[in-house]
Amino acid sequence: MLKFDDDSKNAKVLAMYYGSRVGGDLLLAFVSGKADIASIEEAKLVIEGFWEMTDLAIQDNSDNRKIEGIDDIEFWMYKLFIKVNGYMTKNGFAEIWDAAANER
Amino acid sequence: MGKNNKAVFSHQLKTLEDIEQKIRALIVEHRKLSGSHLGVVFRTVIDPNSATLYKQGHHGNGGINQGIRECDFKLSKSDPNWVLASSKHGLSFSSSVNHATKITKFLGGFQKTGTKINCAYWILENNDAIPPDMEFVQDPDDSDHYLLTITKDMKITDLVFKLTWISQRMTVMTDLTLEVNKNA
Repeated sequence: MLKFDDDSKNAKVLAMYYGSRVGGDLLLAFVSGKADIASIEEAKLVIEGFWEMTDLAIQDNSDNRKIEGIDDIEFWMYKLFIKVNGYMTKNGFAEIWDAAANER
Repeated sequence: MGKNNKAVFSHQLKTLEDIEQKIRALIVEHRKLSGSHLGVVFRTVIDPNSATLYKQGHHGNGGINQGIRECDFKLSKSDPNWVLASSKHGLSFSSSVNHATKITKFLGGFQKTGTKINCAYWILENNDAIPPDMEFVQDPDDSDHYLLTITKDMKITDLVFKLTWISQRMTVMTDLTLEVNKNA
């Protein structure tokens, strides 16, 4: 599961905020550190959802919006990206994760 | 996915491939052959920032103090002129080709069209290459990600001096600059 601590709580706040906006129980549970990914199919769903979350965050960042009191959206989404990247790499989903990143 | 955010570096695939190739060659030369742990590390640099310090208005939407982003280091709440030692705070570096290019693409998505983005590298010939009271800490969440941390509380001016020193020793791949293009 993704791990968050006090120093990364803003990443979790944005994960839950954008996870909720995109929707999907699995996506929200994964990005908020409450569930693992159990299969390639689940990984594909989560990865697609993560990039939708990122696109929403890019728009909010561009509009200088503050989300749940957080103004540096780029930095905290970057921190979330690092966590997701590490998880996908460590848990055997690197190939589909990298392929999705390359499509962007 | 939002159409406007796709293909941030469209029509620049050759440049991306050249960057990957250059990073790969640097790793072979400075890490694999020497057998050292890191040997060389990489960092995304968004114009007009230097490799280690940010310029006001080009640092994201958070706070900045003397070129140091407040989100990167742990500034003292009682005196923001002091930076506190923390193994969880520091400047981000990548240790692999794949990681460095993914970071460049991810951060590129957050930049305005026309922004120039570079990859910079730092060759670590030996332990003396890192200034005193600083060290690389591997991210427990991502083994290809490292934070350049400080191990002792210090004045922000001292940290700026150290980061300037590092920046002067880093090489920015200015011959392989990418440009954000969200309208392609």
